[in-house]
Amino acid sequence: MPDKKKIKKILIANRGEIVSRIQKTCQRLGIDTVVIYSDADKGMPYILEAQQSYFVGASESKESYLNMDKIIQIAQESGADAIHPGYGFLSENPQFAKKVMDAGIVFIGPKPESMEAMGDKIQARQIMEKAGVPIVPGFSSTHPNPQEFLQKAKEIGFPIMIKATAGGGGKGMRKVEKEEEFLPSMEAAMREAEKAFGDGRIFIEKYIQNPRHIEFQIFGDTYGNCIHIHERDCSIQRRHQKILEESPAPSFPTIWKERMGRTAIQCAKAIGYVGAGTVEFIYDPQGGYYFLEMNTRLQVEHPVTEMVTGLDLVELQIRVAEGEELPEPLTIPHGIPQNGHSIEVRIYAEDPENQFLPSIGTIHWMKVPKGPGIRWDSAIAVGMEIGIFYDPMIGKLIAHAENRENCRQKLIKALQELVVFGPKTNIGFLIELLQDEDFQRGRVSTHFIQEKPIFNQIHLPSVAEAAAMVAKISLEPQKTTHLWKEVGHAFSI
Amino acid sequence: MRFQYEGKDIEIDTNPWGEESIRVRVGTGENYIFSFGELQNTDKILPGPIITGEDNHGHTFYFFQNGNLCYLHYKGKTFVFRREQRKLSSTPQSSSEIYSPMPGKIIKINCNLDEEVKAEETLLVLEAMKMEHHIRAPYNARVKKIHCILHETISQDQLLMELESL
Repeated sequence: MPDKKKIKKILIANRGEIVSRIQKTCQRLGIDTVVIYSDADKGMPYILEAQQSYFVGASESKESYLNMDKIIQIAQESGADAIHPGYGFLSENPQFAKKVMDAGIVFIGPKPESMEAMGDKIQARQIMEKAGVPIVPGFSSTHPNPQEFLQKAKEIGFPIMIKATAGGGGKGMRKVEKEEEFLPSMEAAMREAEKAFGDGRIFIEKYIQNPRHIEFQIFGDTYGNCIHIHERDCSIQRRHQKILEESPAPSFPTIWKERMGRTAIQCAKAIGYVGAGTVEFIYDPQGGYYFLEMNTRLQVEHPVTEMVTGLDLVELQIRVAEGEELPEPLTIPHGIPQNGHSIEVRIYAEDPENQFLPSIGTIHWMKVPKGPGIRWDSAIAVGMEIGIFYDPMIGKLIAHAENRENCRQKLIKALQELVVFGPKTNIGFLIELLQDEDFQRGRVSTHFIQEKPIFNQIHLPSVAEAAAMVAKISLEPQKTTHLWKEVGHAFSI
Repeated sequence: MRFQYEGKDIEIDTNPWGEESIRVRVGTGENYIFSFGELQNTDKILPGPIITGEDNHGHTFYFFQNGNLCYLHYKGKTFVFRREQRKLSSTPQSSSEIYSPMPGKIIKINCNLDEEVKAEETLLVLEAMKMEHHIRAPYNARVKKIHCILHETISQDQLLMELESL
């Protein structure tokens, strides 16, 4: 029997919205929170909400949120009996988890060995392959024998992707449609890779037309139970960054869902997984799916799962960490409902009209939509600065409704009501995305955004209309506002 | 008023057009005319720097000015403009449209419709704050349209005349 011990005080080793998110659950469960902050984060709203708060270091992450020893020292000083690592920063660092446990503190996350096994992407693929989990068919070899590669390519089936082993940024990458094009393409790819990376090694992979990113939320406990809590579709990405996530996945056949769900649990069991994790797959709508990677932490997009199931994943994490068994309705097959539809979008301080460059500056004013089925996860308040040190995410806007179409419309309306005066944001871009006909029909793939050059363009008539409106407002008598800047607190209506 | 669409190299000129409307010229090209009617429920009294109200179609707007930067949220989108000061001396110069550089009263119109004028010739005289201000032709031109009448009180940036270069 694993030890059961109630957690009374949690140190949240992170920053930004996830701290507020974890804090909410702790407050409901009557658990005290200890938060840490860097120089840049002194104004964070969760500092006032926490029972204890500690300055951790300078704004650079390595001085603060990546400073393992300092964080553990604070945990001991504050009397915290557990550490929640959130996502990013130290959340998937096995060395940190080990150090926390060695200090006699509960680490709210998987075992360090599980993190280690999944941290190395090549090793993770090997483990999964051994466990019988499908991975994208491919071939690599240290000896670039063209005939051997051609033979393997024929076995995998065309079209084939040739990729540089040292690669990135599309260099040395070639899509080959037919057998007779393979050898010339392979030579060209090797030359290109040699020039770009000084390393001409290549590997080949099955090319997937319109691939989709579908992931399963999984949960394991210390009693050997392992479940999945449905899927999330995160196909809408830009430069491999997720920007919109939804559950259930649109136009996703039940038969594939059943199979992939079983595989996800198989993946988790292969490494004896405990706690919250996510198994990511590439789904080929032509039939087939492949293991991509496993994230050994709570995901940014966990709210969509919470919205359709009504579960609090942070609470489950804490209870599993306390040594509790996953409660019964969750462990029986089809015991977890998937009600209605939920979509999350990530609001970033970036300029879609200027190659999505981060846009820094003060949030002068903000108005957040409210209403049934609308959730706003954020730690940004008026008057705060979006700085250069961390991810420029302002918050996550999540909608839930009885079906996908209503959810989509609800989210569009909420985005139109979300006002951020300060840095540029991707709100307008997200609205366009949600209004796209292909998106509306659920025709999504990881190539979606790059195939739609229509996004991100300046629409001159609306700019002109807005300028006219500014002129119109400015023509009217104005109230005096300059004194507010001198004396005003954060303001909102 | 002259604006720059923040972060982009797009110049925008706005001018009153008739009683109700506003004419917008974007860059050197396109012209638009917009009418919002009377702005409703405009909050000018409540504390705080945000001005909010509705246009005649019930679209809510939020407006905030911080120095030269104007933030507007309207019809579900947020726009940022940098307001630029128009220099008196450089008022008409290259444009074929002659705008008033300041509020005032037209006390003299020196040309007629279709008349040819020479560069630097006075087109009209504006009186503001008891001073006369001569508005001159930027280049040799023909008067294509006159948008003001003698003794009319005009606001800043109002379109007064349109020229056609010769």
